[in-house]
Amino acid sequence: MDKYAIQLQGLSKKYKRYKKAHHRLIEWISSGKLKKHEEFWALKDVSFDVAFGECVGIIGHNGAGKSTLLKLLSKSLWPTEGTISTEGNVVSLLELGTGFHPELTGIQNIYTSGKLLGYTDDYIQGKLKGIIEFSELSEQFLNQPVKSYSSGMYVRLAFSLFANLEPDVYIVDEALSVGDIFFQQKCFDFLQQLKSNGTAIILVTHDMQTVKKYCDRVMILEEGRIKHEGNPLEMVNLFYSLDRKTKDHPNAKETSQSIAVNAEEKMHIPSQSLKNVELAAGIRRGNGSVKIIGAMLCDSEGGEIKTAHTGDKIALKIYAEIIEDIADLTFGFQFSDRHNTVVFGQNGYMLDKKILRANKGDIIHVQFDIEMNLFQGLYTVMVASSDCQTEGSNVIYDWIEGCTTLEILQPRWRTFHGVAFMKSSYQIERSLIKEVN
Amino acid sequence: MDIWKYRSYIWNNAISDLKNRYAGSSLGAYWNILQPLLQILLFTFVFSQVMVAKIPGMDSSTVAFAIYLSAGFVPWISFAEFLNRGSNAFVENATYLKKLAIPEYVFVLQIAATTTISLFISMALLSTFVLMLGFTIGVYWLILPIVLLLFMLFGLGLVFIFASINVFFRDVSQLLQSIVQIWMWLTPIVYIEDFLPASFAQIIKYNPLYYFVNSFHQIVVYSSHPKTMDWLVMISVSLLSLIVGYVVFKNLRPEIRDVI
Repeated sequence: MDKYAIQLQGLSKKYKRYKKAHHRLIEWISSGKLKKHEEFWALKDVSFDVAFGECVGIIGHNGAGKSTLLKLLSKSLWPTEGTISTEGNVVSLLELGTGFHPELTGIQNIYTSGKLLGYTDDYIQGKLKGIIEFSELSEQFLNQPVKSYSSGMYVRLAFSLFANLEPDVYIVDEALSVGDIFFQQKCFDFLQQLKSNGTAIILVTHDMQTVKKYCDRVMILEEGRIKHEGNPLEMVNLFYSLDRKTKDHPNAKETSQSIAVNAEEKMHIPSQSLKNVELAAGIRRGNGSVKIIGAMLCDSEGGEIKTAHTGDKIALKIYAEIIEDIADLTFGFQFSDRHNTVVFGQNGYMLDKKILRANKGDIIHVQFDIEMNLFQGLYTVMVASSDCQTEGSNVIYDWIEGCTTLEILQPRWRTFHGVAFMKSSYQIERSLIKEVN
Repeated sequence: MDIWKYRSYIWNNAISDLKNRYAGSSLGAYWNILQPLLQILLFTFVFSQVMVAKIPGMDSSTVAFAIYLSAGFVPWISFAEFLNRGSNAFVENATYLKKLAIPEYVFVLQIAATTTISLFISMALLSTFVLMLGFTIGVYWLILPIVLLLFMLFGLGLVFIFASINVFFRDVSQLLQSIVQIWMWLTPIVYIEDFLPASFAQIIKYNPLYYFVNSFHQIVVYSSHPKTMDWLVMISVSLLSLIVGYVVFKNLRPEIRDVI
């Protein structure tokens, strides 16, 4: 008797990359004797088992092979080598809402999606009541074309369908991160319930909180291979410490690098901070009089961090090179939330009213010590160098958005709600008679 | 078997395809009947009233040529549509193929079902029309569905070849549209074989579609049955096309979802 719900053995996926379209034709005509493509292994020799009632998390950077693995698991891609053997019914949330037709009503879409997934009308009909109840959508909406749905409603309906398909193996990806928070919670409760009923769950995600909360075991996927495996907490921490460094220089061991200013004095610049600027996701602008070369968020020991708790004291380090002599200079930063709203921004001049002067060739190190009074969530960090004009138009020397991110983790004890933390206290009194002035 | 699992998807989509094809027009699904009907009426009017054409040996009626035309052209429309739409079957359904486990061939079979249904509707109309014009529908008409199915099976093999290659070279479906046009003129659909120059009459014998269309003419126009040669060619080319289609599809299949 096989106790595994899903078993992967030596799973590999190779893509052929052709420089020109006709190269494939040449290969075909020569029946493969002339090889014109480059091989790209998106996944290499991946093997693992998932037992019934177990939840396994797979984390990794973009490009590590997560989506290829997801597609192989949901059988929408064919493996080049290796096998996937599953016991029973596999449902993949990758497919969430794929078969939905905007012109059809909610109910009609339940049936057509069901058929796309290979279920008969009779089977879906038996599940219809459960699907409708789970979705919490009113009858009126269910009989309207789904094009009139909000994206939240859309996800509700799609998830409700998938939730009721009685899966033995459930494959979940980021799909759940849409929709309102209450429904998300309901979905996760549901996953928990499925798990205790013996359903095997594979969670492929970026969302470290979810991984920590639901997984029994976590694997880190790196360059198409499973590099690490262990308990969720260890793996998430390891993942954060690996972070972006491994993506570009898998063998890089050194954590800092020196740039000479003059013979006797050297500025120590952590290489991770250089990476952050180099790989910054957002726009960069400025007149180029100052070149920001490094930026990173650190804990009290000076090691780079990507996560913090509300209230933690962290440091933002900025390294810059002065390209031209400047008489009016300061440095600043901004934290923006997921809607790209700036939640906090500040520069040095605001703090000490000092206008800096710098000479060409200087290497500058700026450190902001910040009390992270932000609410739980993901924030991006912008760093900049400009003149000290805080109102109206100022001269920007260098401005880099999205050079690093900070995730404020779920608090151990929730002390507030909203975006801003305001210092507050609280008194309470009691009496039996009221008087109104 | 997967085909069995997805049978209701294939069937339901073929039906809704027919319904939605004319969605938005007030007559809706009725256009599936009206379209071929108007085609047949137009032929009849033009060739019996405007350009009176007669078939050698059938001087009895001026509508005979209209029936001759319809007998070849009506199935041809379905065949051409099958090839053109079928060759895009995988590319058009890329969103599904990228995310779902649904087998690729389901989409080809769905188009095959749609075009076959509309072919049979058109031929049923043609038969009523032939009756109304005072022609007799003989016992040989019973053979017609078999010939039509062979015709579509021949097309199915080709569609598998073109649809598979089209995933890798999108020009195929464009090229195919022109090929289909040329192919029509290489088949005695809008002309009568006897009027051809001898050399050209020889050439069209190498066209497999000649034998199918010949069989339609035999049954519908001449109230006869296809000759042994016709049967032999029709059965063998259908088999050959299906085998080649299967081999091409089978070899390209593992990569289809990688590039789509």
